[in-house]
Amino acid sequence: MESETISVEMFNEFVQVAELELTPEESKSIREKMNEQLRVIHELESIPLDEQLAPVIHGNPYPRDIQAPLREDIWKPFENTQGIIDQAPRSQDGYIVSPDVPHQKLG
Amino acid sequence: MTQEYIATIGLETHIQLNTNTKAFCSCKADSWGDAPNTNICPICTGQPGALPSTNQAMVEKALMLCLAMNSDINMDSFFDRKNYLYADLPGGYQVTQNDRSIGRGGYFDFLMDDGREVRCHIHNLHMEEDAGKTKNEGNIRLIDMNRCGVPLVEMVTMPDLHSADEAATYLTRLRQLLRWLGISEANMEKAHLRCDANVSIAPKGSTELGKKCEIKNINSIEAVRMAINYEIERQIREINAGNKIEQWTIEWDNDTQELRKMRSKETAADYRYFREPNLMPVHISEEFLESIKNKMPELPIQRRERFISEMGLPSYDATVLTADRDTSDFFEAVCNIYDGDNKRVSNWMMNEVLRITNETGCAVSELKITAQDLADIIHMVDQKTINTTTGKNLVDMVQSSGKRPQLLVEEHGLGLVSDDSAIRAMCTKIVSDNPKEAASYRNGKESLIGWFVGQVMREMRGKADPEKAKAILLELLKTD
Amino acid sequence: MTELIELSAVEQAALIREKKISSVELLEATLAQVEKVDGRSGSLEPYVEQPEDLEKVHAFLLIVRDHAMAKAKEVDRKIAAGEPVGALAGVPYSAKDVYCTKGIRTTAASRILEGWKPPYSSTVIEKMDQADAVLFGKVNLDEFTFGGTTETTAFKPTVRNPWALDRVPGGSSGGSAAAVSACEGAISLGTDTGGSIREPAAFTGIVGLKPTYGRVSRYGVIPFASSMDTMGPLTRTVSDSAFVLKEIAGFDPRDNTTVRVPVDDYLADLQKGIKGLRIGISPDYLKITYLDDQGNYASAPVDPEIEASVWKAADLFRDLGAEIIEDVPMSNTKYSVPAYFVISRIEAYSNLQRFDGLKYGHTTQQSVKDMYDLYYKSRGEGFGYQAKLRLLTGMFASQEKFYEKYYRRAQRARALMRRDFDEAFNPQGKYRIDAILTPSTPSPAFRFGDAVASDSLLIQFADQFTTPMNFAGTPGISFPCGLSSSGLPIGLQITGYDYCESKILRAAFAYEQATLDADWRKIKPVVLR
Repeated sequence: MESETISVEMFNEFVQVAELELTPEESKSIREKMNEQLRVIHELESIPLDEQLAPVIHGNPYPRDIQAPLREDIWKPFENTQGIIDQAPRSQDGYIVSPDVPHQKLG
Repeated sequence: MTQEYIATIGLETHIQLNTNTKAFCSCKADSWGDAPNTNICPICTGQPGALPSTNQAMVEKALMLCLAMNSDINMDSFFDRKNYLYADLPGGYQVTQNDRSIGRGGYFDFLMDDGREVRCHIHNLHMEEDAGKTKNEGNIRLIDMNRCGVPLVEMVTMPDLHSADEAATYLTRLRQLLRWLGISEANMEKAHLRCDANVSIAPKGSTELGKKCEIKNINSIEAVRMAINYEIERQIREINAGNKIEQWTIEWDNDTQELRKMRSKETAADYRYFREPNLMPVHISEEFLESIKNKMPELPIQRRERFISEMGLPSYDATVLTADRDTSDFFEAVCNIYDGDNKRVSNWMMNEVLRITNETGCAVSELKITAQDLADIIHMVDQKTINTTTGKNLVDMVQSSGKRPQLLVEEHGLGLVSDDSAIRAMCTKIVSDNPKEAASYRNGKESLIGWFVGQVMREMRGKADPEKAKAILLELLKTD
Repeated sequence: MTELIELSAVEQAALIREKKISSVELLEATLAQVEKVDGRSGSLEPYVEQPEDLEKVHAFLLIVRDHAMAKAKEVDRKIAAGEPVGALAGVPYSAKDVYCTKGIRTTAASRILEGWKPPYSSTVIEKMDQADAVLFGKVNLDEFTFGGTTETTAFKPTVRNPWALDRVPGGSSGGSAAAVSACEGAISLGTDTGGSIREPAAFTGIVGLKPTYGRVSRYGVIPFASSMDTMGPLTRTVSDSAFVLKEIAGFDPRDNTTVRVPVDDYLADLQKGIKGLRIGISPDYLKITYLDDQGNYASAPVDPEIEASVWKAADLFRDLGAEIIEDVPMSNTKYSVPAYFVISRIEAYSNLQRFDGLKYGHTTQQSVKDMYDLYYKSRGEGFGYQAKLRLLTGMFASQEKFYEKYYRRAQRARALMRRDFDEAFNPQGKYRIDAILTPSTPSPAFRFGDAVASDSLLIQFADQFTTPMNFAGTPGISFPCGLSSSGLPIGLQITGYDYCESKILRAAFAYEQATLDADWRKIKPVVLR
């Protein structure tokens, strides 16, 4: 079964896509734990589900009359925009600063 | 013997809706020209703990576009998270609609400039939020989140287009439609309308499509034409060199006008979509749908057809007069008041009113001249109260003064003199003042009649009825 | 003579309103208690255990003395001037450090939010402020609420159980529970995604309320699993729980998952009693159910003292006029374990994607090649082990190729287990119950390190009786019912149906009032002796 184990290659790919640097100890330990947890995930397969059962996003049914209505399209400026930018580790002239994103020119 | 290739193009257009506020928060939707990071709040900047709230106007406008595209409406649609990391996406995911979007299927009929009709099928329409802007500065990127969260409708076509020209024309007609419906400014230079193009080539006659490359970040209709042509050429070059086309994501650099391959991370396909748990599904009731249907205007292509078939206009006129909604509304209003030859009204619209809007840059909706005014002017010319030249000048005078035409005619004494005796007196004077020309005319130079009429008109400051003057002059010149 | 700090919030508020004490006085007494029992605050510094640490509670990450004093003085001024004040006027409270507090450091107990001062406050904090309660500190928790013992916090030393300092206070709202249990404030705001209010409440002998999902706004609270997170109070009495819920519940247009359902007068409703209330007991909540190595469902009994306390409570409820309905089936509950796991991990992973080292919190000081490298190193340095584990597990489970097999299937399983509640509580159904009585946890508080190292099923499945309510969205309250033979608190849970907090509060209140003179209530936590 393809989902039976998470190989080292597959794990490393997750780590790259997640942008999450791990120590070698963490790598080993987390990958092992994840493989253990696969057992829990596979329990899903044994749940008796009839196909009529619709998937739900929330447990509560949310009848329409109690649901939040759509938001009115009225401008309300936030009063503390400076407070947001002040928290950025690196900012410049009001912009948040990021290192560059790599590119490769095409012929 | 060179192989002939057919290009296949599918377009993903992102349309920025002209709502007041963003998709999921109450910041402004339009912050063009604002200082960076001033049109922001905890929600659109991805602050920990902030939650989204769906904008009603976004749903309304998206629905209008679905109706205009003849799409099937999903009365219950869902928002999903599209997960990826990028500096302009503060939440680390984009709230969009994946497998159950507001509109499904549909088509857009449009005309190429040469009149050929193209039908481009639509795969789906969905609502989503915009990302922010980043700009390069040396080896860093400056991030501005003003645009984060602006509401977009993404419309994905089927691969029904086969040339860069078709793609460019699709966009031009789409832009017209969006403004017509009043749901987007659709100004590509301001990124209200953005286009990614999926381009592939296949040998002529082949039933399979080639591997497609996606070109992103094209910011004008002309750039779309250029970028697609370059890409088609590139792919043909590659194939002819014996290489395979790989599925790349390519960025169009608007400054250098070049194609650049993006780093493979952006091409990672797995966005791990799942339902956005912070938002209720979008439910459209029958009543709501009806109310939006009632708000829908006649679409440009329908109106153009009606101008031709019911109002008797030639197709050129119909096209010009349905370029935008205000122009066609104005034209139709004049026709309704004037209640006569629509072609005549069309001529006056195109030659005078649109001349003014083109020359001055004034929009039809901002004109001082009203539909009633134009109808009145044409009517006055019909009744020979003024002559045609005066009528044309009157249009400009109404526009610059804002006064009604009748008032201006009185104030400036523009009325045509039809009184026979006054005209006769002037004609007599002109003939007697110009014996040489009179003699030439009598000797056979009959074309001089135009000169005589001109002299009379000049002396009478254009207020003579020229036909009357001509008749009298002919009479006077015959005798003797 | 009861100390000020031992009084309930209801009593404290009354004394302040009646001008018998001032807010400042009450705040000073509270801060003095913190000084006395709490010891040093958790911090990000590499942890070296000091002997004193073992004697203290360490509930707090941050005390905001000036902020609290300003509020207390303002309350006193208003009362002196005869101006109207909110219901909680002058009552000091703490908040789990996932509640955004504008301008006041908020960490989620993680290094990745190091130094962050939120530019805004959560709705609940704003409501507490409008009620004129006095925020005096932020308390410790499991990092990003990922855990049941508060051991995964990046801020050490972590919290100790005031009843037994070698034991965990539970989690993830361990700081909230320990603070209230040790009389460091009568109220603490916690969050509950799988039992994180109810379990620590049970472990520390206090009352913890998880309202219905959507009853209290989540706006401004750092999320774990967005479809299951609930905000609620930890208090020493049931009245206090009702008191706070009334102030914080209600529709919030900023949280699309809140509901337009009227907020009951929970405090007044407590007096309605429980005569005729139908309280169910389910066999599925009296045992641990798990899959053994052969992949078959097996069960293990809960701690016998805990089971005994359920039956004893049932007798008491009967005496008070309630009807007890035994054998209420909740058989789909066991299926909720893998489904809850999948959905919570997927939602958690996505909620962690905004922590990137660019906008707030920790950013790497190492040199970086590009933007992605900045993410890689900052997140690597900032997130703790449990956060990384859940993030990667969530990434695994959310792959597109598994969409139908895991995510959609889990969503169907959610509907299935919700049916258990719909059927049990259906007024036209067979059981027609108003509430279900269950243990809060299968065992009392365990020792530090046990959660990771121990084989005990009772520890591994410590949240088995609480996660179903998060999954179904129903409310639950944990309240103390006695002490184990080793002197550790035991909690019972009453769970109910959507938006029926009144009923479950009434049941818990009836129990509390009927046991006011019980001997076990005379015993205090170790730190208070």
